[in-house]
Amino acid sequence: MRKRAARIASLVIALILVLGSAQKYFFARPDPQAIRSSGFYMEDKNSLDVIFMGASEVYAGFSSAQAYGEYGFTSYPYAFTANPVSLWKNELIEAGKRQKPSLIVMEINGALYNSGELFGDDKVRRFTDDLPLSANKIDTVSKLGTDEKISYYLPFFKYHSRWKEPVKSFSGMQDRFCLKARGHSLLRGEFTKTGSACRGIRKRPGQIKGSLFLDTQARTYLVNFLDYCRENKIPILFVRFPHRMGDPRGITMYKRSRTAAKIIRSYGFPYLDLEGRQERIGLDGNDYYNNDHLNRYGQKKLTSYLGAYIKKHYDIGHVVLSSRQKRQWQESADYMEYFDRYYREADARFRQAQLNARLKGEPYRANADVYETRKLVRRLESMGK
Amino acid sequence: MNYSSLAFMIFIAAVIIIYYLFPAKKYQWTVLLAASIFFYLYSGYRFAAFVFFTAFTIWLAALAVQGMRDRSKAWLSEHKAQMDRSQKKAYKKQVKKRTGWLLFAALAANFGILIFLKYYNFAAGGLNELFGPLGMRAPFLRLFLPLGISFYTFQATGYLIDVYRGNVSAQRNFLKFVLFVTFFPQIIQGPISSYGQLSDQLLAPHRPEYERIKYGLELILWGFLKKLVIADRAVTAIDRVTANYSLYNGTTILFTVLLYALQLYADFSGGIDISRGAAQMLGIDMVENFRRPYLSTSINDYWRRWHITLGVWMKNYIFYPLAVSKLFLGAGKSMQKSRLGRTGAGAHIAKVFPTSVASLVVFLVVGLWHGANGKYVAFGVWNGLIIMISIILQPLYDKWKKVLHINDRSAGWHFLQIIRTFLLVLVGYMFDIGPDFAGAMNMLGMCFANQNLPLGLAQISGLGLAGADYGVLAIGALVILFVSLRQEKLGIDSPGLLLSAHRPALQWIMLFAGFLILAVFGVYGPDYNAAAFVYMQF
Repeated sequence: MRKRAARIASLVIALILVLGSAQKYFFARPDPQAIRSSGFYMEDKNSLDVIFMGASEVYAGFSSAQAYGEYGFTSYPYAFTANPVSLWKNELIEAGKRQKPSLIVMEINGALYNSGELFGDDKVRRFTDDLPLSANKIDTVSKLGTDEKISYYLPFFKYHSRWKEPVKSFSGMQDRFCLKARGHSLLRGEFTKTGSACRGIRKRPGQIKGSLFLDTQARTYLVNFLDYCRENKIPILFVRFPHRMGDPRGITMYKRSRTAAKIIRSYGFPYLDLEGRQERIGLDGNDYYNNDHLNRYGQKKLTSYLGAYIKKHYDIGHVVLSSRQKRQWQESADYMEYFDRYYREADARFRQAQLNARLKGEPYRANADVYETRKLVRRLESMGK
Repeated sequence: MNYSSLAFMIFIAAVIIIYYLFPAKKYQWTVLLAASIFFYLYSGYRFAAFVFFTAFTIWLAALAVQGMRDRSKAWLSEHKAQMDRSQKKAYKKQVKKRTGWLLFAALAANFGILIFLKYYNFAAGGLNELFGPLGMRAPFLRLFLPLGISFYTFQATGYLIDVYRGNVSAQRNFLKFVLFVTFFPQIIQGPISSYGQLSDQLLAPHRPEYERIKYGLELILWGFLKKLVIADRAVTAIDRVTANYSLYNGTTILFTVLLYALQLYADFSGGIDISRGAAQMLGIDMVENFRRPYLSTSINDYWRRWHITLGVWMKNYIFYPLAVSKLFLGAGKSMQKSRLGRTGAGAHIAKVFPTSVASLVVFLVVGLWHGANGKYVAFGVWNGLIIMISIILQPLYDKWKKVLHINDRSAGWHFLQIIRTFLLVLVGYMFDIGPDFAGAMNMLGMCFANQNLPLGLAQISGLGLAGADYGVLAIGALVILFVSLRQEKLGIDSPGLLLSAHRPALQWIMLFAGFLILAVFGVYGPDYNAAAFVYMQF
């Protein structure tokens, strides 16, 4: 009887260990989001002066490592691709469990979506996949109108089909191991892309007249979020990051942002429209990798500008770093130099390849991601030597 | 509640725990009853009225038939001294007639519902084609099929016929009878159990036994592997081709029907394994429904190995009554007396006439049971004709084998028979996957006339499955073949028993591997759409 119980227990434990490890490392999202989310949880508790939140504009537009190097404050982009306003409150609660920043900077793109974009499977998973089990996670998942809720608690149910992409999955596994081995993110959630996929003629805010209503559901979530921030006295700055606005959707979003700005200001929260400050920031048409996102050239300029703005207008820098933490942050800032050199070369090569393809009439090449992979870190390390 | 879902696993775990912990062992069966009713209502409460109508009418009819017979026996023994032989015979005939009408009424009511729900629109379509030009049109109705209606109707009516024949006693307790009709592991897709085989097990108290639970779990695991790794993976490609077969060439269609053979077996037998495994864990042995059908040496053998319980039901309640009926026996005797019957071949045909025609009728019914479509009729006729012709030509086959010195015990001949049978089965499957009879015939024709391997391979690669998926299917097919051959050789049906022949360490490794394979390669989760069990639709 005991032998049988031991055998059964061993089988169950072996399955849990193997599948659990596989879920965490192999059958996981092998993408920059995973690295960025994991990196956030690796930041020491209460070590961040500023947390940037919102959608992809945030991590494409602001470099935390560069900001530390220039202004000495610590920050992290706790942001998610196509992040909708419906998740902001849960994200804020989650961020608040580990950090007590002097300032939250919230990019408002997620409040400008249509209702159909507020609870997409992919959008929610980007947030929940690396979220530890908690009341906050249960609350987030419970809002979903799907029967497949178990896959949000056990992502294996969703991602086990990645066995068909072993190379990609293995590569993602290596990236995660590299991150875990270091114990902290080297590039602090850095992300950008090479090349250019810009379409249409770039529009300036001054050329765009009027405003548009927000989607009803999005407006409700925004208002609820503002109420929450007010009740809990959250030190928050709402921003609109710069966009190229070369397509109708970009123009629609900007018009909606004007309405969002009114609502935010009516609650007494500050709102910074960086769209209208593109000249001041020094941004031009070469600073975007597509209509919505800055490339590294643009990111550098925006980080300098926004970093200075935050330093000037907000009382930050209260975090006292240990010598180890200072060393690690300085290392991140130093590595941005190598990163810039790498990016310049990679971007130039990629743009040339894009041009050649266009001239030959070949299919257009999509932009290439540049983020903290094991390969990139090794490359930067070799540059540093 | 799908059998291959996590919800069902949680449900069965809860039922097992409550069942074995239930304090009053005498009433343990009420846990099964509650679970079965819950399962049925959860899966589709709208249909509950149908299954309870069947349970009530059959239960009542069985009691009435048995009551009439018992009362008549008692009356007869009381008055036998006052009656002569002819009077007794007349009285018995009268009682038989009355019980016969009762049986007929109950069968008509229940099969009437089944036939109406399943075939009304089909019949309306046919009638409209015939009489539409005359301005007469039968309306099409939005009808739905209650969950498991074919299976529970057959099972319940089988019980009633057994009571009528005096093979079993009628169940006096209505709730116990409801349990027999609605027992949840079998309600969706069988196996169709006989009352004599199942009822005592359902009502008897059970204690948890390690071996039973272990073998039951292993059977469930094997069922899940077949269903989720093989069947649900293959169905993607099959659906693409069958949705518009004219886009594909003969090679692709041939590949699809082969894939369908794998998918259908894995789906149906996988579902049955899950059902039987669940029942086994509750201490109940349900009859087997599959016994390596693709290793059959004839179509007759195939139908003794495929959907066994349907075949048994057909044999007991249609074939035998027909074959020994006055009509068929009379026809056979008339043939024997005729000029044809005086020849050697004619005498043989006359002799086998009742059984061969009865077989054809049975398979006509089997075809219709599958659905209201001409292609299913063709399916039934195809199988029935082959069996009929095999029976009639058997002496000729024996003669040819002698002339050609064929040793029918040789491995080579056995192998040829298996291949031949499989090819005949594949033709039948064409009727399954074709959109209709004409479409099926077209597809069959294309398999012969429209072969192009390079084009076929290119088309196959675009059927929604990656190369890795085909790899999994190929390995899965080989594993099933290997296991089937082992089962056939050793005469062991249970995968658990097969596994237990090996060392404990190897057993546990294989179990571990089985769970891992299911977890990684199974078609489940948000990235996939769960495919319903094929036989649920019947």
